[in-house]
Amino acid sequence: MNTEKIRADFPVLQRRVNGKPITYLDNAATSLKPRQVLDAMNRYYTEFTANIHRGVHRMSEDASREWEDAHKRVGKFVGASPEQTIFTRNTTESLNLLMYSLREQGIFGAGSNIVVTKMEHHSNIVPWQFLERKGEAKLEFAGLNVDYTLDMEDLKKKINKNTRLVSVMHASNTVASINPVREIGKIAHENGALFVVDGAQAVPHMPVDVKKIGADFYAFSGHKMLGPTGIGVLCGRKELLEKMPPFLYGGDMIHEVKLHSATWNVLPYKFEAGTPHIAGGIGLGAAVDYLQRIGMDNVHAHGKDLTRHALKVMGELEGRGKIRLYCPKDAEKQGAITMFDALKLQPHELALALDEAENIAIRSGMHCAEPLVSGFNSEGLCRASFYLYNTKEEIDLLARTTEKILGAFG
Amino acid sequence: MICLIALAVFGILGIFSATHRAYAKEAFDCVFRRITLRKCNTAFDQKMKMKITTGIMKMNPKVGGFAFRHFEAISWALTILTIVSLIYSAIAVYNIAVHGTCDPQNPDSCVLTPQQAAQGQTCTCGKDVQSCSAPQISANGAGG
Repeated sequence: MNTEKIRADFPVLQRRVNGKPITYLDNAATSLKPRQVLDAMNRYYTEFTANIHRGVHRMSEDASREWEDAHKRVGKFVGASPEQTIFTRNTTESLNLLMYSLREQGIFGAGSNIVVTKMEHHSNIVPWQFLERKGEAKLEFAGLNVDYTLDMEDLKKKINKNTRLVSVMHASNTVASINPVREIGKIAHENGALFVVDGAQAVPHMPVDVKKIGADFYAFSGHKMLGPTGIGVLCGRKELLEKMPPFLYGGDMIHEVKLHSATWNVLPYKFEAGTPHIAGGIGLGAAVDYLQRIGMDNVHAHGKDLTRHALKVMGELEGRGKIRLYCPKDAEKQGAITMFDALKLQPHELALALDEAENIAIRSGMHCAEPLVSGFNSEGLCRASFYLYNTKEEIDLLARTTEKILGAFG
Repeated sequence: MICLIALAVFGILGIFSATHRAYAKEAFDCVFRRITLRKCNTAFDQKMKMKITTGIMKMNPKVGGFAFRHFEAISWALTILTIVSLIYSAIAVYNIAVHGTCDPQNPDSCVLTPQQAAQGQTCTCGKDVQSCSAPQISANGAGG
């Protein structure tokens, strides 16, 4: 994989601030966008700007065709058919769609439980809390081992015959652990529970096949995989989606409307009400094409290589007592993320200093996982996350600058 | 208390620059919260602190570290100095307006009377500063 050639595709990486390049290490928050994605979106706005599924003129036909084609390509990317591939705004909306629709379907009730993990993103905790507040389910949390991997024994204890749904992240956006989703899916199904996977941090970085994983529902975001913001995906088993009531009601999700009744459109459009983010879907299709040209095995290998290097250099800082790492410290067990405590500096102070000193962008704070991260440090933690355009030299710069800042300010 | 100095600086720069206007607004929010004994909730003070101390650290890590560790005290000291110098400047402006530059004990020092300061005239004065006459224009245009 030629990283230099890939970097040339990203306009933001050509930018200079105070004469220095930007070192973008906040990919878990959102990824940068290659020219190919921007061009695809721009083509929609300059060549065939029209609404989809509404006109018979050629521009509407072109837009509809591109939109439907994007569903095909994105679905194929994760081993799903176009009917199973629903475009939403993001992973958060995908999980909320599931919650509202399954609730409406009557899946939950008093005495039932929902099992998630303590490492979940807020989007995979707060929607289920809504059900708990309504008294329709009890929310159970599986804990972590000392190496920040999922405690499978605890998870198995929490899942029982009352469990209606098990929802876990495929890869953590904080402690970086990669969860054994196939095994978790089996346990969920053995207990008659639905199995939901939050793949926001997995799909951008590794080959994913939702059928092989055995997920009933799999959610991910376009903006973390080189696509634009405002577009996400929910893949679901066709037979389940067909039984579920719609989430939003209105245009395009209907087949026929009378004054007092309506019938629904076919999948996936039953769950895509209103005018969607057409440019976003087309952009996501282009992002998937870009990743497939590079090859997800290559992307995954590059991520592991960067992770190994980050664990080495940041590990040396930890060894000198400068920082503390919160991850499994094993590139085979974790994603391309290192979350750490700067010990003598508050996380926002270090993040601001890195930005000011060398244009290094990392994230600081709770990382949308407050129950977990606040347990490590009430002020939050720092997080550096890597992707296909990052290099080992950038990680070295992060480590060097962190040490310099901590040496001066600590 | 960096917010107060930042408000003064960015308030002036904000007249010419939209970027600095945004900082001025943030500084104002921060000052308002700090003078009502609340924590600044935009992290503006933290941003400014890190911007300044990191800038110093890049030139000299030791000095940068000192500035970082004692930033609050340095900010307070600068804020007090700024307020004190503003007070002295206000007194000086008042004195110019009321007394001109005339020192009654040393009339030769007089360059401006209060009235002539207002009219933009200059003259040399005798003992009685009120009796200063209009300027005499010399060959080279200087008053005399």
